[in-house]
Amino acid sequence: MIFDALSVLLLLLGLFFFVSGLLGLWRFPDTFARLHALTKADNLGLGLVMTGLLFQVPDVLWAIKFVLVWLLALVASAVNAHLIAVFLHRQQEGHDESA
Amino acid sequence: MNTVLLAVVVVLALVLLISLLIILSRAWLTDRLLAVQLLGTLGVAILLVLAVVMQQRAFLDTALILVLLAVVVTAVFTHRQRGGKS
Repeated sequence: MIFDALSVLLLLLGLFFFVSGLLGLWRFPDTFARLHALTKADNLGLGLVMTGLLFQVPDVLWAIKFVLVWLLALVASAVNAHLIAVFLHRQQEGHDESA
Repeated sequence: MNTVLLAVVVVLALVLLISLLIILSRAWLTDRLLAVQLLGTLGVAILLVLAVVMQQRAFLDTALILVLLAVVVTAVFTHRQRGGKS
């Protein structure tokens, strides 16, 4: 019972982070600011949702796989943010040189 | 508990729908790539919840593939925009 309550709490927190990431993507003025909001929000959102679901899994193998999915998502998100930031930076530099 | 999990899936799907609308409304490539990243993460979250609801482990494998593909999309687009050099 207490595990269910904890699970619901963590899921709601995760949803909050997903929604705030969406708001950041929608309302922030600058692409770097959006990058910041989005990367943080979906790492934490997915992490909390995953932790909430960990209390509901049938066996340990599932739990291990959940954590692995989240770790891969962390690495993927970091690579993604880095690629976009470097791309944007180079684009702006190129624009400055031609101006 | 399953009702709560399904409600979570519905909320996540709504967020996914709105971020699709954001992709459509933005003109700039980086914004669209950011929204695609959000789509990937949301898809993974939905698949994780559905895996627990339906007790199917295959959803977890799909989630792993979805995470990987979101990165591949960004890598391909940023590389191509640079003209494919370096």
